[in-house]
Amino acid sequence: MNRLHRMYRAMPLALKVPMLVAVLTVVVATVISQVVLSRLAQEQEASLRSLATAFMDGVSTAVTPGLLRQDVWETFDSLDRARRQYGAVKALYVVVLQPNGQVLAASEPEQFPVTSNLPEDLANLVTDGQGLTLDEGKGRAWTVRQIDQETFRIGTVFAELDISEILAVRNEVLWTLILVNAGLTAIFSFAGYGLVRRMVAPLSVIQQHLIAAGSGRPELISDHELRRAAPEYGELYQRFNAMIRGQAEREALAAELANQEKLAMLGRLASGMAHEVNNPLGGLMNAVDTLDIHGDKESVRRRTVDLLRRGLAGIQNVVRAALVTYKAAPGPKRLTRDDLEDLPFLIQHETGAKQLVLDWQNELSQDIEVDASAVRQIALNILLNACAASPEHGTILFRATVKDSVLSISVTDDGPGLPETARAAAAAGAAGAGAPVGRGLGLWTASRLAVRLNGKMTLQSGPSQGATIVLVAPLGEEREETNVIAAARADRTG
Amino acid sequence: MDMKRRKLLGGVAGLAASQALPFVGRASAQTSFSFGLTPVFLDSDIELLNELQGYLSQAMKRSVSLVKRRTYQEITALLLSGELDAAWICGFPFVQHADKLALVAVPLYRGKPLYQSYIIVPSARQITEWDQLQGDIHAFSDPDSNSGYLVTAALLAEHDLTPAKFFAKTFFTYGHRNVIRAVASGLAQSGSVDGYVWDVMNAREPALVSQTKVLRRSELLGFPPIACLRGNLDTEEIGQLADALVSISKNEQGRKVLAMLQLDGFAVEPESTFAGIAAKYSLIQLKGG
Repeated sequence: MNRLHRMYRAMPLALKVPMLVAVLTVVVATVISQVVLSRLAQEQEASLRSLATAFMDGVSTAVTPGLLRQDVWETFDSLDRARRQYGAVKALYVVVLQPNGQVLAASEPEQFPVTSNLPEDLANLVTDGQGLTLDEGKGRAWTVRQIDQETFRIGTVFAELDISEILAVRNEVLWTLILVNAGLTAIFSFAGYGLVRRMVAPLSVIQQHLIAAGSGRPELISDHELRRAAPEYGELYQRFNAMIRGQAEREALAAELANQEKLAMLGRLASGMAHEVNNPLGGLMNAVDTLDIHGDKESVRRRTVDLLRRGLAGIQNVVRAALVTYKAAPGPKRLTRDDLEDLPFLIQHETGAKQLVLDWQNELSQDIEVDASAVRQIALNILLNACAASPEHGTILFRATVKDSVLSISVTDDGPGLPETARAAAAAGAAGAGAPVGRGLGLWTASRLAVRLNGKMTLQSGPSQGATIVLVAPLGEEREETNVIAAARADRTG
Repeated sequence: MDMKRRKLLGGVAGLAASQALPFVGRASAQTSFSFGLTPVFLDSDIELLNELQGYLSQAMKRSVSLVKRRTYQEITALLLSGELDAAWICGFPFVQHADKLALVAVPLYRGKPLYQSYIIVPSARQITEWDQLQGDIHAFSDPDSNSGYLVTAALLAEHDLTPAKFFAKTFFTYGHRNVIRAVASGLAQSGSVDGYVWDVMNAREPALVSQTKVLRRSELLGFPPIACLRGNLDTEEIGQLADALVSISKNEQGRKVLAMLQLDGFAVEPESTFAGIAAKYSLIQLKGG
């Protein structure tokens, strides 16, 4: 029963409705057939009763004179004539019995000889039966009529009728009903199947587009489908398309905002980088001057060249880090230990300004299958967020680990904890909602990128102060940016 | 045979006419002649009755009414009471009332004024002797019929039997054709029938008659005669009737009648022709059959 129920629930609407129509038709047809047949049976029985009554009236009247005189021939002659006269009743035999139960005469004298007694089963019908007794199985009916003259019983007329033709008519009606109903059921089922398929076809269009949208490849319903659809579905299609366009615009806007944030961050980094480059530049210029003046002295030259090399190496580090982060990525790149190692250079302006201590625990030992660019941007964003939140001389703990094919990066600061706006921005980014106005753009961007990595970013505040932001991302998975978003972005930029 | 004639009483003719068959026209009281018919032969042949009535009217030059009754007894009673001028009766009533009735003419069957009585049984029945009929349901034609009752009753009487003792049950069908029907249908297991009727019907209705077969043929006996009251024998009308019957083969309509009846003609015969029947009657009277 449960299995049937499950099968029924799993059945598509295009099958379910025709099946219900068929079941309903069968039920209605069965009920109608029953009513028709039962009514027909009643009518036939009533008709048979009246025919049998008329037949017995005629036979009784005809045989009464013979019965009164116990005249065998006259009685037989009456029966013989009666049988020919009543074509409507197919009497197989008619027997006239004397009051003592003996046959006076019968239309079939060889079957019921004069003065014989009826067989017991028929005699019982005569004793018990009044009017008409039917046996549809045998296609026979028996009718009995007592004949009284004044107050005396002078005899009984007993007849067996063949009702097989009547039953054949009923059977014919039954088969006609069955065939017609079967035909109607088949027609209704096929028509129902076709109609429902037509009716639910627009739903399957929406369903396919929703599935595509759910898997990140939303597509607009074509103009061809829109023109074909009924008014209700046409409106639904238009609303669906409007929804997809709205979402694409939001995505494009978010990408744009992220880009702007990236540019803003780039500006900040450029100024920091300029500061970092400028700081050693004074010393380097002095070193050049020193070489120019005292370059002939071996010890001075070597010390000065070492200084120059260290200074230029620092500048090189800063420039390379910036280059790796912001050059246009040709495609996803595997994350290496070094991709994270140069991040401290990018934030050294922030850490240096507040004299922060960076506790750097990069535990990555080998290349891992995750988008390096996205991970670097997330890490950079949360590090910058930690720098901004940390008090002077504070400590920032950075920890990157891989365990069970999951990359985990956590950044802990001892700032005042995360404000509600930061949490809301991160939640909005994770839900694919629009970018927040004002603060929190960095966390929103990081959250969105975490979703792209099929990962998750959690925000934890310490018991009194401080906050930890953890990125968890599985290795080897990434969601692609959809065509619609790309197109919308192209619209906005183009 | 010498025949005397006398005028018929108008009242008798009128009374007879009132019993006439519907298709027989009512004639004037003075000239109408009433002629009774028993079911001795083919009683349902309307064409035959028309032809016979037509022939007699024309031959006797007066209107003739044919009067038909279901039993021999009724016709005999009408004849004896003078309500009929003449009647075609059976030999048995003739010998029963020999003192009151006289012969007008006797039909010639196969050239003789004689016929036989048959005892018939269903054709499938395997018996050869009449005494094997004991315990049967037996159909007689009429209690006043020679061939349909008297012959069989006399046969039994010869062996000190009666129909009531010998047969399980007997009944009368009041028509020889009905005896054949009763035996053919199985209503009766045997029957006593006019041999002439059985033979004629065997040619006309073979489907019915072939269901029966003749078990015993009696000796030849006087054919059912046309009789009148002995006192009326010399009347003009009876003379005309006798002439018409005897000369029936000389007229085309008459020959047609004869052809239908399958008779050869009519003849004036002596009353001794019925001596055989009279003997049988005496026998059953003696034995109380």
